[in-house]
Amino acid sequence: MIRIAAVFTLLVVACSGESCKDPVITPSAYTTSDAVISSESVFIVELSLTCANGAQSVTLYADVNGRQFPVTRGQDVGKYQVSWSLPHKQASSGTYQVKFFDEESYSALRKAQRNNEDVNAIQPLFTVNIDHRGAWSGPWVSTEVVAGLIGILVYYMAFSAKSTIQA
Amino acid sequence: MSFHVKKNKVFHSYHLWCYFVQLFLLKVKKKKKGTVALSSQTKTFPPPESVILGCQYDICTGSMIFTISSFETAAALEVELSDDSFPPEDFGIVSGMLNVKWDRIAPASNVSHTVVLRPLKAGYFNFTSASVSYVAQEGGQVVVGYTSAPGQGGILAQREFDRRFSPHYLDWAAFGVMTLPSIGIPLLLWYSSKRKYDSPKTKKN
Repeated sequence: MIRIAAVFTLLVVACSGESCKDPVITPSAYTTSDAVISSESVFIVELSLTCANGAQSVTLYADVNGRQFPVTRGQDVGKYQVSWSLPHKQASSGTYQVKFFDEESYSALRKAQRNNEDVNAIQPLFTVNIDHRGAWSGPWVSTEVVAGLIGILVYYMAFSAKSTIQA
Repeated sequence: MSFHVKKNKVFHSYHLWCYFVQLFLLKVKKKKKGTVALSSQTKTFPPPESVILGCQYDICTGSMIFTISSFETAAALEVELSDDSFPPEDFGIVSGMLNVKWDRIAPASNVSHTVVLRPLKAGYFNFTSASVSYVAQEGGQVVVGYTSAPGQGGILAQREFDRRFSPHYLDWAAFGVMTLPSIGIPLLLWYSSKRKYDSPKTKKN
């Protein structure tokens, strides 16, 4: 019964969602650059979307490396955001491809996932590539250690010179 | 960057252009009766300064991560998250939106939303709650709930943060320059007399 209700709800929602023709996007992205001061790397993609058919409240889903997220809509018309976070070690630097799906292609994607079919065959509505340069996690060797080592080296050189003279 | 300058009681600093970091996890738990139970956690900062931090470079930021977990058997519809607890004079938004909505959140699933903020003033800030509203079923009543407040968090001024956490390259360089005369002058004296009096016998320094 619950399942039927869920399917029905999904159907209602799916029918109410508008579809977007010829999307024009202006994306902007943010990724964490400093691991010293944050406990996780966050990724944020914001975009403004304009559709040729004037659709305004488009329901979008995003797929990043096989993980799906519902896309959040902002208060302003045509503003969308998708964000996720990863532990620093898993957030390797490089380009992340964010695929955006509308209701229709998203259900096709889910279906392909369920049936273990090739998910790359499903064309996303559009994709956004974001560059993550990796989060800086502080110097490898702390400056105190470097200063200490230099101090020891100088002392050793002076001491060995002294013992050569005295010998 | 320039901001209007304010004297700060906590850090006595007039240089307040950077600031803090804090990561919260706000969890919105929905109970079955339509009430919303809320909890929050502060993440992985060691006590007692569990909510400190500053930043080192031009972007010094804190991320708010909102996680909404749905425990219901049906989807939550028209979910709206709205956080008005960051006054624009205290925080600037680096990325993300503070008022967002989802058409639908699937049953027994999580969604998360992240906003990156940059504090504009050092000191203590009382982080209060965000509000979440949703409709439990089509045509049903709107349920409004609040996330729990993460509570008070400290925001460090850039100067204080650097003092505590930066690698102090400049300080060490200055230290090196200052110790140079006391080591370098005897070395030079010794070296010149060595050159003068030493026939090419020993080649060690």
